[in-house]
Parts: sequence; structure tokens; C-alpha cells
Amino acid sequence: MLRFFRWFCHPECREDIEGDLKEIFFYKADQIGVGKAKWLFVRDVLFLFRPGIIRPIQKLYILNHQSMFKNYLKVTFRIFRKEKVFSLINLFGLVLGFTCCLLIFLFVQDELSYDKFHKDGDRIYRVASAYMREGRWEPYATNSWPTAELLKTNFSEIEELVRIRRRQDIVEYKEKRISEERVATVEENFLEVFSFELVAGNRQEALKGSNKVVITESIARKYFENEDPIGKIFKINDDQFQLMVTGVMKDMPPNSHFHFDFLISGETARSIAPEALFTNVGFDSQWVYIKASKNFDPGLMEAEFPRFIDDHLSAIFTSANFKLFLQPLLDIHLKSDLGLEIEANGNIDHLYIFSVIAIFTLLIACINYMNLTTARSVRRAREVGMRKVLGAGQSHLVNQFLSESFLMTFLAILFSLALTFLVLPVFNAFSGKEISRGFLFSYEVVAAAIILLVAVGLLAGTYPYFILSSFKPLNTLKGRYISGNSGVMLRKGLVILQFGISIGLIIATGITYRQLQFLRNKDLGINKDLLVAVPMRTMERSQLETVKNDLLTNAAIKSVGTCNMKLPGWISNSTYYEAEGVPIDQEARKSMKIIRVDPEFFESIEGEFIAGRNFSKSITTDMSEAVILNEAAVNQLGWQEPIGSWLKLGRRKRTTIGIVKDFHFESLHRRIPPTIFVLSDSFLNWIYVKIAPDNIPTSLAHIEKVYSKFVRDRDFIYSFVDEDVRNQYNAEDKFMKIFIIFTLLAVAIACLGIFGLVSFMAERKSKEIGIRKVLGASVGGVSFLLIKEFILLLLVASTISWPFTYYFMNGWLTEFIYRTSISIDLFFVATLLALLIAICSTGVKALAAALANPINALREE
Amino acid sequence: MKRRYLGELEEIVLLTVAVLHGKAYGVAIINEIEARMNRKVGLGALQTVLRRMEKKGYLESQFGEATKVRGGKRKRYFTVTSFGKKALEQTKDVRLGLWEAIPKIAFDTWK
Repeated sequence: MLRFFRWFCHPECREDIEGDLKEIFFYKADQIGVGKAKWLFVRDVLFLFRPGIIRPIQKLYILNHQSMFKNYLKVTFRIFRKEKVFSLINLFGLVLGFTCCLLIFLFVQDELSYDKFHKDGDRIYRVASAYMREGRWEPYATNSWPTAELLKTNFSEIEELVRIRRRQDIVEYKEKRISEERVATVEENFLEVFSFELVAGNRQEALKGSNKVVITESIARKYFENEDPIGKIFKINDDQFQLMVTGVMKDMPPNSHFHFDFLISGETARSIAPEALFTNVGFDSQWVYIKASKNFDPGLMEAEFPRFIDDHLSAIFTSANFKLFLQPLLDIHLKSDLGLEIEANGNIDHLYIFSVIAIFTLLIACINYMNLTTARSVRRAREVGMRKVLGAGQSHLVNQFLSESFLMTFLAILFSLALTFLVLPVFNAFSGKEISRGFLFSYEVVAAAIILLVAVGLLAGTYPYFILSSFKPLNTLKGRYISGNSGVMLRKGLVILQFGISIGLIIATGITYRQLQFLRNKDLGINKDLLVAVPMRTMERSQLETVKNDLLTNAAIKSVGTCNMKLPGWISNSTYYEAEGVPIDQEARKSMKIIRVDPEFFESIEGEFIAGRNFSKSITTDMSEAVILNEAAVNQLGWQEPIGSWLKLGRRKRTTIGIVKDFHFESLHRRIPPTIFVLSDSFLNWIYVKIAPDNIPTSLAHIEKVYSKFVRDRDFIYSFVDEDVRNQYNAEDKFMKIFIIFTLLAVAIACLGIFGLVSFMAERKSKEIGIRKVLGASVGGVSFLLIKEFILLLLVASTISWPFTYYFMNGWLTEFIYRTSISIDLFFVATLLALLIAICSTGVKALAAALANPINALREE
Repeated sequence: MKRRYLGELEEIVLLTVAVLHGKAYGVAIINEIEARMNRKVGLGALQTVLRRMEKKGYLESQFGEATKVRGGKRKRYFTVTSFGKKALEQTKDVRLGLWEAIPKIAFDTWK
């Protein structure tokens, strides 16, 4: 009650009224008893709660705040100078944390900005398809030409429809003759659907008519240098056809989900592409984009698709084995991971993971700041005491510590902006991004920086304030520094959090690394080493036998096989079938992948036969009447006695002569599909040459010699299959590298923090250490004394961190069809590693403290 | 000069402070009023009046000694200022004027 009175009472009259109250109380207590007196006392106090006596709400004195802030600033700088190591650790930790955050922010922003530049982007959709295989929908980004045509005529919601088909062409202009890969045939409304900027030419007319091409600025420079490109003529594929430049567009921005340099008019395609492209509904060669009318509901259209398929595509498909679906343009980059994507897309999960890492590093940096500031606060207790004595209220202390933390945060943000500016090119190279430095000054980044400033400034500044302002001035001035135990507990908790995050990140990195290694090194079921893949290109297929024999003249060439697909790669051909003892299933109409090979193919890749025999050239019927299946195919058919059973492909009945062990033709992101191998002598595109391990350059030279003899107008190119296999996982590799970098940063920041804490402890315990040493403690024992707390905290942290990390990483791994298992040793390794790092970073300081001469510590008193 | 009127309680407190002459602090004033007029004045009411009159300039105060019974808090002694005295006199004059203006007849009828 008295406290209540003191609180509300005007300070000027507090003392004497309080005296009066007490006098009355004691008098009454004498007269009528304590109990009643107390009641009277309460009544009196309540009656005192009236306007004349309540203190005014405003401050009594108007302080000169500006000069106080000046003082805070001055003190901040003085402390910074006085305790350089701490302050630098503090600042550096924050800078690293912010830089990490900024980079991730830029990365995420960039990923989110994909395809936003198209004017009606929200109305553009891609029509994708999916096939039912082995009871699963297998989605593809592509569709066929006639399907698109039928869509256009059957759905009035479609305002515009664009088909894109990729090509690879040899482009010739005067003496320049270059093989171009970013070539596409597009329809005349392409530039009206997609808002790519045109620098020359007419948007509506440029792609109208046959033999027109729109090129990018860089291509214009490459072929024509400073000449005006409009009207120039390219010869394509050794004058197979010609293209006139009718427009020049800006290079497609990096944040587009496809990039082409040549846009060939659709009319041209009609004359150069095979007729089947325009009539075969199963020829899914086109990426189909539609621009829908306003107020379009994609759900309604998708609901119509099954009926559409049954009505119009029934030649091959039914709604049970084929489906169409729409992908909003803006979602394609982050959410689409279908077969036959135009380019590798981003992954929204990675964005989430990186964002979490950004928050973690920031948290670690904040914890550092808080821990170091509160740890140091004991030293500043005297300052706080003095301030309090001189009349600083709570609000002044709040102001002081907040302005200090805001100043630090502000400095850190400035430095980290500068640092980001410096490392951005490196980061770009690393992450395959093209983020410009100018983006650092965009309002998004500035807004993010301000939010960071406020959030971190408050978070990091409030806690030290609570600790510091709780000191009793008398105690601190007398020299008794006993900081509250609650502060120590919280500090420990924060250290545990830091360690836990760090250990979790280390484990996650390890698992990511193992998975990548697993993908790269998993036994594919074939021998991919020393296998050279060479595309046949313009080679006359009838000469194939001669080519093979020529290649084999060199003893270093072990075997030569051919196939119609690139290994490793996408098996793009599939077929429907009828099979012995398998009822014709009209609904599912299951299909299998089909690959054309020659008899030596399995030899060169060292595929393993489980049963039956390989194709043979001497058996003439093999060409038309035999198939080899893989295990998955046999499983799909459910055959008990596969050898000798028949399979009908098209009109031809074929006998199964061999079963080959499942091997990975495609990347490990895809399940091994049921596959049919048929013998062929003409539809072959790739030569696989197995070479001897020694003298590889000579073998390659030999291959080149044979190649240039038989292949017209094409330079020799080749690749090693094992390298191609590795390259399939470049996306994972990139992800892992970024992950490692940020993990390292996070761990480094945490290390800085515990280094700061241990050096602080060493200082506080210097007397204790001195006395222990005088009494005979060893250097090791004393060092251990300082470190042991951290070791304990680390162990606690790792036990907390393990299950969480296991849970999340397990979830991540289940996204992979073929995956490594999470082995427990990784967890121990991570903890040990963290332990090692922690001991290293604290050990130096602890050792220094332990080695110090005890005299120095003890002399002071 | 603007005329100031004293409230009833104000007048009593002011007079009591004058009566106590130099020994007037919170509890003493309450006791004095109680003793003389058998009237209980709450501390809250009293203190408010005291502060108000101090602000108006009728009273002035200084701290006195601390006693144990007051928990070590000092007393605040009030004294009437000359301005306060003037106000009192004014009030008294007004009263007297009124008394004198009452016709004799008025009281007779009551009897």
C-alpha cells in the first residue's frame, strides 16, 4: 500500500505525508489495534489518491535529451575503443550474419522474380501433360502440335496460344559458322504473349510468314558486329533453309524460365519439320503456352480436360492414361519439375531451406551480441550505477542501451552491405545467378535492411538493458558485482541454441554431401568408366558397320556399341504394347520405354544379362522379331517365364530373347522405367566407345580420325559417360555448395561468440585462476576449468539438435527416389567436429589465461 | 486586487494552522481540529487543502525534525503567510459584515 502511495504521490510532498500516515497509523494502532489501524491506513491512502496529490504524468524535469544521446554515443565509442576485441567480435559477428542474410535475401528475391516481367503474366499458363505409367502419373512439360491445335479450337477461354519447339542448328553467315543450341520455332503471336523487349522490328509482323527470325542483341553483335541486322540472311544447316532477320530483341532476362537466342517463325517450321510433327498426337515436342481471357478460372478448364481427351484424342489416349493440366507461368520456375522442362528450374524447397538458414545465422549473430554485451555488462555495472545515482531513470537506460545496439546494428548493416557488394560476383559465380550490384540499392533491399535494423536492434538491445538496469547501484558502486543468476541461465540457454543450430547445420551439410556422393557414385548397373559417347550427327547410317570396324582397328578400343539415345539421359520414346498372357487393359493402356540398340551396345556398357541371350547379327530374325526387356518391364508384365513369351509392338509380334538387369539409363531422380530394347541398324544416334585405361589421348585421337572421315560438316565432339553422369547432379551440387558456405558462416559466427564468452570468463576468473595456480593447479586443469562449461553445453545442445535434424533431413531425403540412408556416425562426427571447433576457438584463450602469471591477477588487491 | 474566497474547510485549516503557530503539521492539524470542533478530517482531504493553499500562497512550509514514530520521515510545518492572513481577515470581514446586516427582527422570529 505504501508503495502504491509512493508511486502516485507527487515527489515533493511524498516524504511528509508518508510521515503523517505512519504517525497516524502507529497512534491508531496503539488505540484501537493494529488490524483496524491498517484498514484506516488503507482508507487514508485511498483518500489521498486525489488530484492535488497525484504526481503529474509528465516528467518533472525536461532533460536535454539531445545532449544525453551525445553522451551515449560518446560512451559507446569509448567502450568500443577500450574493449576492441569484444566489440570487433560483436560487430564482425553481426556483419557476417547480416551478409549471410542479405545474400540469401538477394537469392530468394531473384528466384521469386522469375517471369514477373511479362505484362499479362498472371493470365499465361503452360499446358502440361502426364502419362499413366506403372500406376503413377508421369508429368511432362510438353504436348503435341495437334493437341494444342485442338485446345485452341475447343476452348474459347484461350485468347492466344503459343507453341515453342527447341532446335539445334548450324547457323551460317558469311565466314561465321556456329552451332547454336538456343534456337526455337515459335508462333507469330509469341511476342504478343511474352513481353520480351524488341529493339528493332515490328512486334506484330516480325514473326509472320515463312523464313523469318528474331534474334537477340548479343547474337546480332556476334554475327553482324556493328552492321544493321535487319534484313540479313542466315543459312541454316548447310543451306537446308534460310532465315531473314526481321527483328532484334533484348537478350532474354536471366529471370526468365527459358532463354532462346533465335526465334524462328512458325511458318518456317511447317516446311522443314517432318509431317508427323503436325499430325501425331503422341509426338510431344512442343511447349504449349496459353494466354487466357480475363476472369479465367484454371480449375474449370482443367475439369473439362478429361472430356476433351476422350472426345478428341481418343486415337491414342483416354482420360485414364493421359491427362492435361495447367501451370501458371509465375509458378513454373519455382514449382515445376516435370519431364522435358525447357531449362532446369529452381526449387521452392531450397528457398525455404535457405530462408531458414538465414534466420538461423541471424539468430546466432544476435545471440552473440546479446551474450557478449551482457557478459561485458558486469564491467559496465559501475557505469550503470553511477548513472542511476546521478538520476538516470529506467527510460534513460533503455535509451542508452537501445541507442548503443542500434548504432552497432547500423554499423554492421553498413559493413555488410559493403561486404555483400564485394562478394556478390563470387556469389553469383557460385550460385549461377546474375544478380546485379545495383539491386543492392533497390528499395526492397533498403526496406529489408531497415526491418533488420529495427528487429535486431530491439532484440539485441533490450535484453542487455534488462540485465544491466537490474543492478542495484549501491552494490555495483561498492564493487560487488554479482550479476543475477537468471542472466547466466539465459546465457547458457542461448549458447545451447547456438551450438544446437550449428551442429544441426553441420549434420545437414554432411547428409546433403553423402546424398550427392550417393547419386554420383551409385552403381548404375553398368560400367560407366572409360566410356566415350560420340554423337553420329550427319554420319551416313548405312556406313555404321564400316565405322565400327574402323574404330576397332586400334587395339585401345575395346568395344563399340550404338544406341538411339544419349546415355545418361532422358528416354524419350515410349510405346504401347500387347503381351502374352496379359489381358489388354484399355483403361490403363500401359506403356513402356523403348530403346534401339545394336548387339554390341550391352557389351560396351557392360550391361548384365539375367536370362536369355543378347541380340546377334547372325540371327536375321532378331531385327524384326526379338526384344530384350529389363527387369522392371518383366515386373510390369508379371511374367513368370519371360524368355520365349511374345510381346506385340505395333503390328509385329516379337519374342523375348533376353532379360537384362535393371540399370540406370536416366538420372537417379527417376525410377528405372520398364524398358524394351529392340535391335536396329538405322535409327541409331550415339556411338559408345569403350577404351583402354592407358593412353586415353591417343584413343581419342583415333576416334576423332574415324569420326571426321565419316561425319560431314561437323566438328568432333565427345564426352565421357562418367562425367555426364556426374553432371546430372549439378543442381544438387550447387545447392550443397551454397549450403556449405552458409553453414560455415553460421558456425564461424557461433565460434566468434563462444570465443568472446570464454575470453570474458577468463578475465572474470583471473583471480580464481591465479589462486588455483598458486596452490598448484596445472595449466591443463585450469584451461579445462574454463572450457568444460562449453563442452557440457555443447553436449546438451547436440542431444537436442540430433532428433530435430534427423527429422528434417529424413524429410528432405524422401524426396529422392534413390537415396542414401542417414547413418548415425554422421551425428557423432558432427558433434565431434563441433567439439573440436569449440575447443579450438575457446582453447587458445583458455590456455593464454592459464599460462598467465598469477602475480598479475593477484597483485591488484 | 481580485478578491479571493476561502472555502469552509480552507478557512478552518488556515485558522488551525494559525492557532498551532509554528507547530502545524499534518497530524497535529487533524488532532487540533478534532479537539476543537469534534470534527474528523481525513488526511487526504487535509493534505489536498494544504497543498492547494500553499500553491495559492496562503501557506508556506518547511521541513522539521524526523521522529521515530514517523518512520524516519520528516514533518512539514506550515505557517500562514501574510497573504493568508489577509485572506482570513477578508473572510472574517465579510462574515462580520453579514452579521451586522442581519436585522434584529430576524432572530426574534426564530425564537
